[in-house]
Amino acid sequence: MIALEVVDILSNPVNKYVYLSIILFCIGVMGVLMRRNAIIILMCVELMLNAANLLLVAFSAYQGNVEGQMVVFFVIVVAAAEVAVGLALLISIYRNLSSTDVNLLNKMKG
Amino acid sequence: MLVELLGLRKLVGPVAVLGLLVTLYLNFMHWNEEVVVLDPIYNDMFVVNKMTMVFNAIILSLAVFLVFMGANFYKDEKKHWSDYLSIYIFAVCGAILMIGSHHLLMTFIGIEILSVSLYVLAGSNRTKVESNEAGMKYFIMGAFASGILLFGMALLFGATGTLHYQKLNTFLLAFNNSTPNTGFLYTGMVLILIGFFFKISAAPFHFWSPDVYQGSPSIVTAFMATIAKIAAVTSLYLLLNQVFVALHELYDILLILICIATICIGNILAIVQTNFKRMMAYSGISHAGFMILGILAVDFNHWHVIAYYTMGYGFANLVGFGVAIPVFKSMKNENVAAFNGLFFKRPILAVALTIALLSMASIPPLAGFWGKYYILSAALSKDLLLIVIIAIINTVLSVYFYFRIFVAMYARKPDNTPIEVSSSYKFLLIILTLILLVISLMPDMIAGCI
Repeated sequence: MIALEVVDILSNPVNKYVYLSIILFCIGVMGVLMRRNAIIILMCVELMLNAANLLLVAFSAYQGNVEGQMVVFFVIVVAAAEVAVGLALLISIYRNLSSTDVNLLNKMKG
Repeated sequence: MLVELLGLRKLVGPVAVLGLLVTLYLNFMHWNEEVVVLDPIYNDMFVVNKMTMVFNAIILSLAVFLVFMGANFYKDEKKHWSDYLSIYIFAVCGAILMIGSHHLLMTFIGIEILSVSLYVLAGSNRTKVESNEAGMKYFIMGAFASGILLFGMALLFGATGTLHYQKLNTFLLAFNNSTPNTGFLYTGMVLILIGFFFKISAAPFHFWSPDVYQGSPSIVTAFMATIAKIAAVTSLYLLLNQVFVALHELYDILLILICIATICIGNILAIVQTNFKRMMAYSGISHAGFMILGILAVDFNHWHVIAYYTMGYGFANLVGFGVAIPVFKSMKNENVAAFNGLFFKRPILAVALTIALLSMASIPPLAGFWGKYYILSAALSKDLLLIVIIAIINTVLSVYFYFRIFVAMYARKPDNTPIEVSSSYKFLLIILTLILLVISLMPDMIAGCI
């Protein structure tokens, strides 16, 4: 069984981190869905990942369990790799279209 | 890439194939042991058992053939072939990590290795706007899905204090409604499922798939349609059965709705497509629906049903794209009309494509039929009659759009553009088709072996 004794998260000091990261996550989601500039979309994706990181670190510190912090290290690396690829794609789009507006990416329909 | 540094560019392909074959062999090393006892790999985050061996073998054998096809596809740009090849191998590593994973972090890393490689590959035709568009769309959608998946993992971690499959399962089995943080647990689970539905392009989250399939280079489309989809479906199957099985009453209804929507939308929209790759994307969506039905209906002791279905699906798709690639290359056109009169120009290609598409349309006695038969009978035994009826109606519908290609191949007049195929490539296609036929003709034997 798990050593952790389960307590209600929302009635504990950790809840402030939970609210903050939920707000950050929602900002990220809305940004990806509503903004049309590819760079801002990239930033919003980062915001989503970092909201999750914050939540993991908060829970991990609160529960005295390093597993969450370990996950965060890996996620940071993955996020860096993702952004590198995203920016590379963006550059090749910019070379072809001279714009970073994702609305111009509508060559395929159906 | 290492081989290229040594200046042995010609060797890259053979070395890769050899490496994959050696991996395939090592994969089966422990096959005959009754219970596989290995030291915990990566702190027990990775497991090896018969099931993962079989799924790995499917992935690896598809990868071997994809390397051969890729060698042909990139014939004109030898300079970059080793780069592409190394990214393919990375992606295969990601797929294998996803399948063997026993910890949500490992699953996440596997998904990311697979998808980041695929973002690069989808956008790899840098001068073509369509390819850029496909890469960017795939990237935004994929990164969005990863974010949702990760947030779900974080919530789950908050509620349970672990991300290890076995420990999570123990926790959830002891779980009841009076345990606190149920909201976190449910939200986390649903977010994780949504992340996976994005990856396997299930219905409300399928929008990226047709565009990405159409815009990417054909060989990358073949990779996405086979390896990426099989890995994601398998991973979801393992996750649901090893972790969330205690909560199945909660997610069953979600899966049922998504399954119906996926099968219907995939088939209905495939009918109106003129672009072959787009049509295959929608057909892949409807197959994803069947795989979700499999996930829903097939319990953990009968995993070979899923393995058989994915095997049939993977090889049929590979043959389909294997025929389509040289045709598109010679015709400079990716519409269904590119196949006009193929039978009179290249009979071998036409016959191979016919077998592949008949299998995908699940005409007996081909692999697609047996796969669907097993899944539907499992669903019937679980009292999912409504879905079975919808699925069968949709299977009949799907025959229509596959037959459009047969009409083009056999009944339309060929034009004068010759289709260039090397004899080694033809040999490869014949072998692939034979494998598909062997899978088809011995469903009981193969399903019994694994």
